[in-house]
Amino acid sequence: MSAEKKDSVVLVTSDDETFTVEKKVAERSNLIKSMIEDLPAASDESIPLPNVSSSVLVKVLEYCDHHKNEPLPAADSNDADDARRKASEIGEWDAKFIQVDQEMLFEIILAANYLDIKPLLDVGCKTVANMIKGKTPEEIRKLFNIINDFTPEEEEQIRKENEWAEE
Amino acid sequence: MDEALHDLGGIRVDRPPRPLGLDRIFARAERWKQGAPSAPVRTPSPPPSAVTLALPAPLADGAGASPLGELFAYPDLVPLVLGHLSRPGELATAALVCRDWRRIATRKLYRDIWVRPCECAVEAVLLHLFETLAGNPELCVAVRSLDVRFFPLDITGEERHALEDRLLQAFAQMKNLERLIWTRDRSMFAELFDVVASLPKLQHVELSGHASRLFEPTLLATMPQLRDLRVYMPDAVFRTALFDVITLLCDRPIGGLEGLALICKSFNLINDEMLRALSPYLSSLKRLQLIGCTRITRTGVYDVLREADAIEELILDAPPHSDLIDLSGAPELSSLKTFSLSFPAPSGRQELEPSDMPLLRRTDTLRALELTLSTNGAHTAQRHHLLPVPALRALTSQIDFERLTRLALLNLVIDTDTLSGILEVSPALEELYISVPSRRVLQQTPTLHSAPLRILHANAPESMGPTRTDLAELALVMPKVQQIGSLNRVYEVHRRFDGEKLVVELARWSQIMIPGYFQVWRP
Repeated sequence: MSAEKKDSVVLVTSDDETFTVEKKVAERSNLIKSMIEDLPAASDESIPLPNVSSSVLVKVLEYCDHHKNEPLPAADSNDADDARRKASEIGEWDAKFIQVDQEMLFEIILAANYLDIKPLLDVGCKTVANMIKGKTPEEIRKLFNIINDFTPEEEEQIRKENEWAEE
Repeated sequence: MDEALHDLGGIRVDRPPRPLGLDRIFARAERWKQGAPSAPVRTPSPPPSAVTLALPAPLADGAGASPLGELFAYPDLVPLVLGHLSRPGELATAALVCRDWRRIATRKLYRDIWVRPCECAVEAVLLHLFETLAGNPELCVAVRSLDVRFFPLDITGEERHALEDRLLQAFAQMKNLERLIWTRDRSMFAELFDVVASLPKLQHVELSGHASRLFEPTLLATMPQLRDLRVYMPDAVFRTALFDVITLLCDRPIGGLEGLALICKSFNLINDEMLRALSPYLSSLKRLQLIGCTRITRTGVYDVLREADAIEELILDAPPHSDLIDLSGAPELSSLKTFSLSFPAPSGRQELEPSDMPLLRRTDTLRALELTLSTNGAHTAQRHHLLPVPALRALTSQIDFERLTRLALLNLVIDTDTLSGILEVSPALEELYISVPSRRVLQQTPTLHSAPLRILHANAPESMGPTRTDLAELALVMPKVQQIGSLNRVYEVHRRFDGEKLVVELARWSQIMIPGYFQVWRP
């Protein structure tokens, strides 16, 4: 089979699971796409993904398969495109997809970052941002185990500085 | 003389003293308290739904720390998460979490600032904002866009001086400001304008054109990066300065203006002669908006369009004498993407005929068409006219509807046939703003339900128009709609799965951007 006609690719996860994936699906990842392009023509070589476990890759591929026919975000997207993308709500399929346990969401975000799947990374980060909305600074720190490294004076100064934004 | 004055004192007016009318006021108040209300009682609107946010599954142990906290150990991921916070309050909260978050959230909070009259406690917001900016030069440097459409004109004396001092201090530090909207009439003053005009990176200026005895508009000509100028209600002083401003800006290495908007109300000092004289200096223009200039006709606009051959956005109104309703003989508009025209309703008829419709030179590049029927000084009720299918065809025969992504037909009332006709010829539409006689048109047009619209706004008389429930039902069947509304109500559409069941809800507007309808609406 010639390279042009080959329409699947083999991915190997950190726990040595092998996935044969439709190329169109795998190429939602910019990392995998560039690795495929770097492979010699007609190569049957598999693509190692040492930073992604099989359980996470299953979820990532589920996302990529669902969105495989959508246009990829342009590499040269400008600020306005970015702002519009960020302002848009998470679609209903994505919202359901992301209703995983928080450990898995953490792994999905890391995988999306590593595999360079911008729309999935956006959905993951937007979901974490949603968890922040409506909470006080103390609640946020507690939720994410973040240490308060401000002195009380600094905190008061920042509060006063940004008072206009709280109105 | 003294005697005469003394006599005047003796004049008696025998008119009985005029009653104060307090008895009637109290009587009315009593009737109001006991009687029926003078206006029909409407059921209060249900409280606006809170936005349902997409969230992961809750933690099994309920109150413990989330494993997602580990994300914040990755410095490149923190800005990606905080980048999805947009409301000032959210960013102000994030700035109080820890030092790392403060750096990122503060940068975003001060990058794009707006103060709009519709915000709560707008005066306090403005005063606190400039108190902070005046005392923190490093925050001023972060400001790229400042959109202030409010100013406390009632503040006087020492308080006003103190505010002006803070404005001067803050603006002088805004070395990275690229976009300024400062539109409140009489909010600009000479010293502030001197500072604004000296800002090195300012590209977009939008301001009140009331300059007389307030500021010197010719200073605009000295701005090194100015590309877009939008002026509201220019006065004679501004108009006199405009020619020099536009011509001198052309001498800069970056060339002349790319955007010019003159938004007036029955202003007769801008005319065709002025446009002709300016046209050689407007060759870089990509956006042109001329509203309410009563002495402008097609001749003057053509003069500009002949020079500005790369124009992308053209927004005009077409009073009867202007002949701007017929632009079929316009110079080639090979880059035109947005065309917006307000044109007068025919008198004596309620239904538009093909000959009433605007004519536009055909262009393959048009993506947004916005037509508004204006009152032409008549009663507002006469503003709405029916747009039957033959009149629609007059548009579709000259404009490539297949490529349109935005269509606004305001005050042009359409029925089911016309709406179906529109949707049939414009498969790429993402935004549709229309007027309908009643909610039934929306309910009885099946092609609307499957249309891939992102925004739908349908105006109708209050009693006949779509209610919130009607809009929610429409949103349920329209697969991609994100904003839906009628008259001055715009809702966000939220979809979520409750188990396997798709739930579609309308929520009050929560985003910082202006809804699509208010970007195409014309007063």
